[in-house]
Amino acid sequence: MAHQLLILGGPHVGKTHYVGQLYLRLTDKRRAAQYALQMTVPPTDLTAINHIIQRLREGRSAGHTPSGFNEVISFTVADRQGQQVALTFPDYAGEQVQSLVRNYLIPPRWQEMISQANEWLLFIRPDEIKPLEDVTNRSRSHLVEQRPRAKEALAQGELSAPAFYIELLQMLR
Amino acid sequence: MRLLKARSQVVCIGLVGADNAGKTTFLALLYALLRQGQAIPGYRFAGSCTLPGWEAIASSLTFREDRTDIQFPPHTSRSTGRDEGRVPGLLHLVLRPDDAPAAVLDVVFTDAPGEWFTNWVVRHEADAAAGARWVYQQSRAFLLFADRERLTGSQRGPARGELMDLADRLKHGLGTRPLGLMWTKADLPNERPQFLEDISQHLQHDAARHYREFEVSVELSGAAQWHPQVLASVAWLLDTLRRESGTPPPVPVPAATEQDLFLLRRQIIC
Repeated sequence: MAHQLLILGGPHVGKTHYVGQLYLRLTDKRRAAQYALQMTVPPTDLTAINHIIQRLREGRSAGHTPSGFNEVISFTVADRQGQQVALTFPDYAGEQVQSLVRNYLIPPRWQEMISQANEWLLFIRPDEIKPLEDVTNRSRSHLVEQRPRAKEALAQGELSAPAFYIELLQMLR
Repeated sequence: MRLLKARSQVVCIGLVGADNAGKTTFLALLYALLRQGQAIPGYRFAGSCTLPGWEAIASSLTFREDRTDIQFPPHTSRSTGRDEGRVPGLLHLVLRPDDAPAAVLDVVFTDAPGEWFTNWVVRHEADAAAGARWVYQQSRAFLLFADRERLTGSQRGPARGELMDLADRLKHGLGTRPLGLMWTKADLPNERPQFLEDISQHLQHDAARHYREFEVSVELSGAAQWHPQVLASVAWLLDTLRRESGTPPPVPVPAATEQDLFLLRRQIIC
């Protein structure tokens, strides 16, 4: 059984790190007993996560996936009943997701990834989403104490985080 | 719009009121409340085709670092580019009724400049009132905006006249379409309760079959009182409509303007 898992999310949400962590766990024979899945066929091409797994082994986090970088990681796992699942994770820079929404345009490559994927995993980092401050929760007199706002984004007509995720899912639907 | 019509019946809600009465601010507050996770009672938010349009008007009610005051949404301009003032800006919401979760309700709010309605009252067939006629004909429900600030200020005489004329015009041929009266800027002290009471009496006299009043304001000090009424008013209109008839007629879309109908970017109509 082949499964393509599409991990969706903007930049810095940890998409590539997730795959790197998954890889390290699945290949950790010492703890294999703890996990329901075992890697049966390792990836033939580690390019996309090589840098990240090196850094993770040093106990550090790695840098950002460069934009325009389109690699695919594929490996096969098996559950305890021996059911084999071939997993494919397309890797890309999160900016691509941002530009999907910003341009209201899904490039052919993305169309392909979206339609081929059996599952989507949407990554959101709540700590990076600034709380919205508008009339529903702030009075005018509190404005002096306002934390610095992302005024640039608003000036450029960019969407707030809730609107961005709604729009993304509406576009991919 | 064609896609929406294929999917479900589109309910158009007409926002009617004089210039600066708070129609766009009402929409911005509605969106800000939905965005913060609040719900229209009885309905679940299920998407929108005009998120950038909503964001654009709501951003006026979002605080900015460089400002010490919120900005009210800019006045909706009468000149609408290619539309030439014939079709209002439309903002879209997809809602799912709690009592019928499988159903999809497409709701469209009109965001039209106040001058359209002023012209419409003076001369029904005026060219400058084409947009107002569109709103009047296509809407399945109306919210009439009464600017309490103006109705208690020094211009209250003319303001009252305008509002009553507009209400009379709306009620003519209204049928079973629900009409909500929205008192805006409700935070301001009501110095002339009798004056406002008279207006209310006038509106209720041979009133619309479905008529209700709401008070709204963006002021946070009375948020618990006024903000829920924004959501409640929409819920009331939709509830009334759904009770009244299961089959609203579809909104005919003028072919020439179909591309521009949606307020994807506010610039289109500004």
